[in-house]
Amino acid sequence: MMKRFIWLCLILVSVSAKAELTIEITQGIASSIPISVVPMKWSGTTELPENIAGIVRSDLERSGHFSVLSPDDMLSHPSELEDVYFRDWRLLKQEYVVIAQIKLNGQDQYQIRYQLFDVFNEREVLTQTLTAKANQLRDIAHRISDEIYEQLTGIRGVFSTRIAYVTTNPMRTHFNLAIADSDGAREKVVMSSKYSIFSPAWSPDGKRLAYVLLEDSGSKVYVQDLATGDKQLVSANKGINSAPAFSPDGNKLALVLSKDGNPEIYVVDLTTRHWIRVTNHYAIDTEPNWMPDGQHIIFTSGRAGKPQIYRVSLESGYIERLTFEGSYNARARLAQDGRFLVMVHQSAKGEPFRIASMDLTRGLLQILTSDTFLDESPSVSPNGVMVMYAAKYNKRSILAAVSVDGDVKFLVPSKSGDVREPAWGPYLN
Amino acid sequence: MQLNKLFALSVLSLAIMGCESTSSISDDSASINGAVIEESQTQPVGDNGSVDVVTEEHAEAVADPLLEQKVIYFGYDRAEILPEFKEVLNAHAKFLVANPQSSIVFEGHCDERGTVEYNLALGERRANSVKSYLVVQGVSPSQLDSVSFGEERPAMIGSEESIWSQNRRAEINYRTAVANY
Amino acid sequence: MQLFPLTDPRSFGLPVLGSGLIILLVLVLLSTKWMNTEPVITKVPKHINARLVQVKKAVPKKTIKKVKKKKPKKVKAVKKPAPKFKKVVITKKVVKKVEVKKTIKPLVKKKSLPKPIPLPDSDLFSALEEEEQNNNVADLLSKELLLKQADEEQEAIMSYSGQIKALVESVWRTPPSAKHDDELILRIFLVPTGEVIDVQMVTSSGNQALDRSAEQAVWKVVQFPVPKDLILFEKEFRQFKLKLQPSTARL
Repeated sequence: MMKRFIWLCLILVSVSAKAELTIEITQGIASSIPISVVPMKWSGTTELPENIAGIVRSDLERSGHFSVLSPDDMLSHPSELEDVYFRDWRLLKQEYVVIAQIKLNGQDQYQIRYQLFDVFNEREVLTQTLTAKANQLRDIAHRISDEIYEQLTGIRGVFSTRIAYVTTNPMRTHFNLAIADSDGAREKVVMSSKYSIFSPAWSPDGKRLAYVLLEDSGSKVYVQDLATGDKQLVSANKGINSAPAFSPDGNKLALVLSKDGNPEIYVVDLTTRHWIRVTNHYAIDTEPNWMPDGQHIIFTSGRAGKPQIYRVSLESGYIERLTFEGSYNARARLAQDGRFLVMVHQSAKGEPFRIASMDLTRGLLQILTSDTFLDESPSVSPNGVMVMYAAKYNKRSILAAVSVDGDVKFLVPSKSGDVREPAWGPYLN
Repeated sequence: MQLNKLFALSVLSLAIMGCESTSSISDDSASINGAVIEESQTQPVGDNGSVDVVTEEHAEAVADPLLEQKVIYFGYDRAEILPEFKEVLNAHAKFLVANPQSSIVFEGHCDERGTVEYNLALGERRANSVKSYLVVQGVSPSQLDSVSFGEERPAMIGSEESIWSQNRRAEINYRTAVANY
Repeated sequence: MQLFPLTDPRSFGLPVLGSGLIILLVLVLLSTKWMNTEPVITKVPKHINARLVQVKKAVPKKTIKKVKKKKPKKVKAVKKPAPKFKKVVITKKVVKKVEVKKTIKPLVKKKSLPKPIPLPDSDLFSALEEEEQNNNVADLLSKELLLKQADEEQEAIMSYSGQIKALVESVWRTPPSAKHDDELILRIFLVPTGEVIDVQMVTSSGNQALDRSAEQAVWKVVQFPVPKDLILFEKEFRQFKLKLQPSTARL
């Protein structure tokens, strides 16, 4: 039904600060919605601190669900309804038009009013008035993108969410745990170390990050409060302490300990510090991830000889194997609704590592990636539409994203060394 | 290249332990065994230099040349000890049995293929597999310890089999009998 | 590949090709009156039938001419009704439409049997065949024409609704949130030229984005193919409901 083809287009986004990421769309869908976001009418005399319409345009374009008309190709730049000639926009084959105006409301207080019009039905879909300080204009832009996206696709937008990832220099002697907007802008380093940092995991409220710090004596698990920067050591047992994952209620942490000689899944209550051992097998058990019910955990196990994904019930301890296709299936991450998981997949020994999705009701496996090398660490956006992952591309570690249906792909190459271990944060509200 | 430094080390490290804080112990061992990555990642360069000098001075012709080999390699996604490395491990076992005050930390490492966490576990398997082998050879478990660095501390950086095969390894690091963790 | 078999039996191949081309030409000429899409071409005979029936009420000459042209070629192609043809021509010289009817009938019987109306028809058809043999043609014709009328009208409606649906689907861009089993019904208001003047939501899919995309699709079409026959247009196409499911969208 859906005619799909690959088109290449390069978009530079958010080139404001030094260490920010650039997003490069490598594949979109044929049936993306044509939309025009008219440059905002600004009544002030100074230059605006952020190009809101520009941010909205790149947000929508990057989602793959929209094809965005360049302002240069527009016949007019209206900012009021009476200046919107639907016929003109139909001639340009546009289905939706966004117009907006921004004005200064007192000291450092901007007021933005935008309207979304349906060109063919000739009616207004959305009108909103928002106020913001200069440093919030980017948030406002992402919020507008979210609203438009949801109105037109029926899916909640994730432009306001954040991602966590680890950057490192090529010699791997310095590591930064950073968070940024989902478009890579406004990067903020939350932790720096000469030791390797990996497996960052968001708390469900988006206020804390759990991660592993691989010190000389071995791996340790920390939970860090993002607002205060306070770092709490959760686990430093003998052997491996790794792979933290917050429970859906945010009160518990699943992780991997090998203090008994072998990597096993444990669950610790973060307030009572009560530990429960979940698995007990001589093979490797690792990479736990919670099912949305908080009663089951999926994990990687080598118990069948090669790593495969399993699901364990916390109540009964019953373990069920979920993946059968391929020689290497590991680090599964569930979509927020638990309908499907994404994982690192190798179809047979010697074949490339890819990101694959698997429908949990039907067990159907779909390989999503193709252009990158050594694909790792998949993380699903909270709306279940995109998967961000780490990969090698032109001999560097980069982040890349692919839509769950495999139709949209983009790269997030860093300007500052290698980027690894992405973790897509939750909705923030 | 540097012969006989092991015995020297065992003596030396005892001496160092007397005055050095515990935090730099693993650094010392790293520099002595000559692992490139370890050296580049650990801090006090001055310490390393002095240690090396002392090592040379105290070197005595005691040890088996096989003891010089402190890295053994593994097959892809495997943790079994390959036959060609058994002789090396036997030599280390003999030395440890003869020198109960010596102890070893095995570092397990992986190549970059596969997931970070799975490789961390696999690295531990490799370290433990060497450890068990030595226990079977009669070494006291109290002299042996292991730590996994997964794929995080490659010996070489790159993405081809010749590099990967160098990174799938267990490193044997001597230190004193004093447990530091 | 295709050239070789043609050259071998030249004596047969060329006439067959020639007649085929002529048929095609006629079909193309006729189809230009309707739409340019392929399915229409196959449906042309049905429209001809429909028009014929109306001849009885108000006689547009053009259509009759068309049918006349068409008739003999079809017969050639099918190579069947030689005896019946004679019969009819002899018995009913007077009414041109009847000629047409008779000759086309065998085709209609064989080709459009699956389509027409429920139970009584098959009985009637078999009865009709018997009566034909008895040469009670006059009686038979009135009955038959009534039947045909209903039948053909039905076919015309189906044909146009099919085209309308296909057109909407061809420009319908469903949002990613649409599920395959979603369903919505629109009421579309047209003017006799086929232009859309209004679209109303009758049954929502429950997905606002999907609803909007369907309405948009209708507006995108701008002008729909509708029967030229005003009575039929008023009856069926001035306003009608359109049921849409994302599984049929083409974009």
